[in-house]
Amino acid sequence: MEIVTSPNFWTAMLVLGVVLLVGVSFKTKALLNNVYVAVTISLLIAVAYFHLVDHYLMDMQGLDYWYLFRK
Amino acid sequence: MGGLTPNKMLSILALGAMVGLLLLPIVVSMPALAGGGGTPAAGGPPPDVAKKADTPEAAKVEKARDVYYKTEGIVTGAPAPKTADNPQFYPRYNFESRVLLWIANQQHLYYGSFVLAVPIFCMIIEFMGIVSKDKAMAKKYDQLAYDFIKISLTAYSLTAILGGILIFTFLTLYPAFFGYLSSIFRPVMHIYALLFVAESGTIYIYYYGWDRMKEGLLKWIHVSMSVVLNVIGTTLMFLANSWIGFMMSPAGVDEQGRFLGNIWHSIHTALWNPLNVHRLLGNMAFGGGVVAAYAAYRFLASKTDEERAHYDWMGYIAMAIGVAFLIPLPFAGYWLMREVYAYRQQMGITLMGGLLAWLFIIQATMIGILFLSSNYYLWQAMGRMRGAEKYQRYIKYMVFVLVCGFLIFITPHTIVMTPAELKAMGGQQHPVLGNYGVMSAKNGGINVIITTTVLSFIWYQRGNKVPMVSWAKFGNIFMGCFFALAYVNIIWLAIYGYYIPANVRVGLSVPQVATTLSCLFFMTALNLVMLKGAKQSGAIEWGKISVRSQYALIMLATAFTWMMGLMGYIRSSVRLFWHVNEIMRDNSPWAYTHTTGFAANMISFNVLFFWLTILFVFFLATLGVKKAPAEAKVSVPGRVPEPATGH
Amino acid sequence: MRVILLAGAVIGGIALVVFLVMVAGLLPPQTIRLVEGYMPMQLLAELAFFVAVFTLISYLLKKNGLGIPRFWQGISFWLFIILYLKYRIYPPIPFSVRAIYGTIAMVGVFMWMSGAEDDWKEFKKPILNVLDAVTPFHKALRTFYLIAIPIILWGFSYNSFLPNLDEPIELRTVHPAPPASTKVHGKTFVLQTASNPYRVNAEGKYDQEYSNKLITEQSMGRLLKPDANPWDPKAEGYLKFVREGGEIFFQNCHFCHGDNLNGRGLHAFAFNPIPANFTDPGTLAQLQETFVFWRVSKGGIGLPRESFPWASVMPPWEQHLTTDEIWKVVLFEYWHTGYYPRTWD
Repeated sequence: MEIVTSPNFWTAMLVLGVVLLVGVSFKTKALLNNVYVAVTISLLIAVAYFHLVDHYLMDMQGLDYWYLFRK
Repeated sequence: MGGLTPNKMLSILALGAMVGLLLLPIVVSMPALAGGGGTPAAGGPPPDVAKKADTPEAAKVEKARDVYYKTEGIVTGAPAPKTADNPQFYPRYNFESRVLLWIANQQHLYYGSFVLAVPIFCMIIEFMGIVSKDKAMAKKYDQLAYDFIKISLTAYSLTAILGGILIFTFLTLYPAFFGYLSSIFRPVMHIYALLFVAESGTIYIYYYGWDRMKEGLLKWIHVSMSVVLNVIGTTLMFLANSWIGFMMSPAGVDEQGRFLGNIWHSIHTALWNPLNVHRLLGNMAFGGGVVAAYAAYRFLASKTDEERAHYDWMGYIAMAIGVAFLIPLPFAGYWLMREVYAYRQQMGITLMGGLLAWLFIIQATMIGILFLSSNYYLWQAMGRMRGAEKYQRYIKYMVFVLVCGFLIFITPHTIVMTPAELKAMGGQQHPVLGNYGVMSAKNGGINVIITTTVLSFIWYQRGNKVPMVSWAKFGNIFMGCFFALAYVNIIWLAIYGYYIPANVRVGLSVPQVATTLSCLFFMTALNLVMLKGAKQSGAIEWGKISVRSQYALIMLATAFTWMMGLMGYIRSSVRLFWHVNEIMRDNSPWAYTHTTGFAANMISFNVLFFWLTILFVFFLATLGVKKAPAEAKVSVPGRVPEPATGH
Repeated sequence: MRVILLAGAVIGGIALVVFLVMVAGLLPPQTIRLVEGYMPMQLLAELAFFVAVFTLISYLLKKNGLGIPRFWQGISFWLFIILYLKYRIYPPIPFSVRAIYGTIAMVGVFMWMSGAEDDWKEFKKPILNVLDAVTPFHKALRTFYLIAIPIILWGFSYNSFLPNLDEPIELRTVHPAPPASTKVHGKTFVLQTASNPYRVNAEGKYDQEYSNKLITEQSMGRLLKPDANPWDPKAEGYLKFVREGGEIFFQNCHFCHGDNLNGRGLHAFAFNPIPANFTDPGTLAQLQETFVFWRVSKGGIGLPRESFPWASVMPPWEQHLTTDEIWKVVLFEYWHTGYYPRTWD
């Protein structure tokens, strides 16, 4: 729980997703267009991105996005 | 472009000179502003000096506290008049004065927003024409901008006439109130008038100089002039907004309504900036809607394929501009609402949960209609592209998502029901629907609708193209995942809101909006990148669009007009029995809130009246076209590049 | 793949049949339960499920050469929605809302039917066939409509002229805008800034965060938080005030508002409308604490003008309770329902 509610974790996920994307696309385009690889990378980036959006935009208002989970 | 540099320099200089000349009268009148608002009779020192000085001389002048800013200031104005229900304060015809004023105000506003919005479009379109590399396209854009300004010129004089009528109506029917308001805003009244003169001057030069200034440097000056024109127009609107802002959330006066010498406080009230943003966006969307309806009308009336192609294109551009401003509009509205709540809680409750809540349900309906018609138009527009069939299969699912979002968005918090139904339900709140009736769910609903609209737009852009970039498959999957998770996030936040306290919940709307906007910006950008060098499966055949799409455009425009009337009414009637909220009471016999039905009928009348008069304006514009048939021919598209991506 | 599709269609078909039997009244209306607390999402999920089922069935039928004409697809889907709203959701939705939903569903069906040009042509075909009346069947149908439509319209007009004995519909404003301030027992409370003097933390300072942590769990039943039992004789501060508020509540309020605070008290059904249900997210949870304080103090008789027809018999409790007692009751109501008072920052 502690880890999941940390923005650093999601930032790391986002970075991981982007690194994977860049890494894979340098290696071979065919692998990038593989459905499973593409879905994995996309989900990683999108999930991490939306968590970060939720966290930081609540944070900016001085509110806690993880209110329910921290209780 | 590079060779133009000295020309550009010159044009900037010319622009600077022009702005300077136009603003000169205002600069000249500035000292009057700074010196305590043009009231030399009071003769006291400026407020800041007075505050410091604790001398017996300063004690003579009466000081009072600002109702909003809580600063101390020297009383320089008379208190707000205490009116009574008699012909001295409220002279009247044998008719409800408020209704007369309502009509005058609303018509002036409709035309005002139209002439504010259309020059902004002109500016955008003319600029697009200049930077367009394609000569035929450039000419087309230029001609379109010229058509727009021609319409707005007639509308401009009508606006002025209606403004005159409005002032006379005020002076005749509400002299005490108008006298008070103008005494507060006396320092800026002449600025307003001068700006109006400046705007007239600019618009005439802009219009009549179109042909003279069509090459090289002169063209740049011409475009710059449209910038000046719009700056003046926007300033005018801001000033007008300051009056309604003052009426809703007064500042710069004490509790009796005595002016305290700082005009900036009276202008910059709690609601001024949210109103400015909301109105500017609203006017743009409205202007787009009206022009689109004009194009739709001409499309339906055209006899040749060429005409149809031109007006189809024009309608598309106008619609795209209108919708582009429609998408941020709910967010600006949300900001305005938040500020209203922050200013006076009971004002917010009167609006959203109390007396006027039913009007908000109607508003939700109109917003839904707007988004549904824009989506519908985009789907219909796919009909003019070969290769878009692959997307049309999915329309039914999008309809389902849109309708679900709409149903939640529209669910009333207070339900109309017979007492028998009330008993059957066992309480005012329905256990299922009651959950849809609150902000958390409604925010989810509207964000789902907007995200779906974005998706429709992306499909439209892709209609006749197949992305050829090497990572196309990944791009598609990424886009799919991103949209899917955006929906998940929006819905999740909407549900999550029920499980956390209200003060945390209100913050959830921000990430929700951000999610929607992320889809709008990132996905549109990604789409554009993916479509670079895309294979065309068929050209866009302008004019080959179903007539239903054109009716959708007319629907869009009517909904815009109706909604503007409605929101204006809501904003105005939230003051209840106050002329100026908590400062000046409305003691006329018409200080009650109209029934919803009467208000709806009045709004419909205003909408009808506006459309009848604007049809006349359109008719005048067509008279001009007939004189110059050669010009009209230019606008017929030959090979058609796609404005879809240029937007 | 085929098997999965078929299985899906069969399951969906069974669900549809169960639903229709429920509509016909052969099975009790709550055969498939609406799960409390999840109803809003369940409703949407069920609708999405049925849409998927219809798509699947229509796809399978079409594949086997038994495609349903688009016209009937549209009409029957719309009818399905109407039936669903009327018979599935319990308690029944008032007609005004069902009318809104039905209209939007119709617009949706129209958008679906006319979304693409070919679909629209197919949709129009049966209508045009009847209008053109080329075959004898269509001719008979057209004649039938020519006679039937005026009769139906006549029926509607006749109905609308009949004297209506129902009570008129009231657009009641349940939560009117509160005044800026209210005067109770000679003291003026500014609603925007006043706060509950008993919502305090261990140091005796106003602290909503602190009290929020101690209220009942609202998700599964209403459970006490560990170490937060107001009836513990050792309870101090906030929890003690909650208990005192509870005592006042059960001496004065629960006869109408119910011992579960759900508006179903002993006398509740003698009133029309019945008393407010505090467990509903649309009541306490939507309001500021000072709003509730104002309502309790002033009662039905103190409703402002916009709350016409003032359909509330709640007594002005300021005549029976002290200011402190009112604040404590409010405290208890929030504690018991597990909601937090609304705040504006």
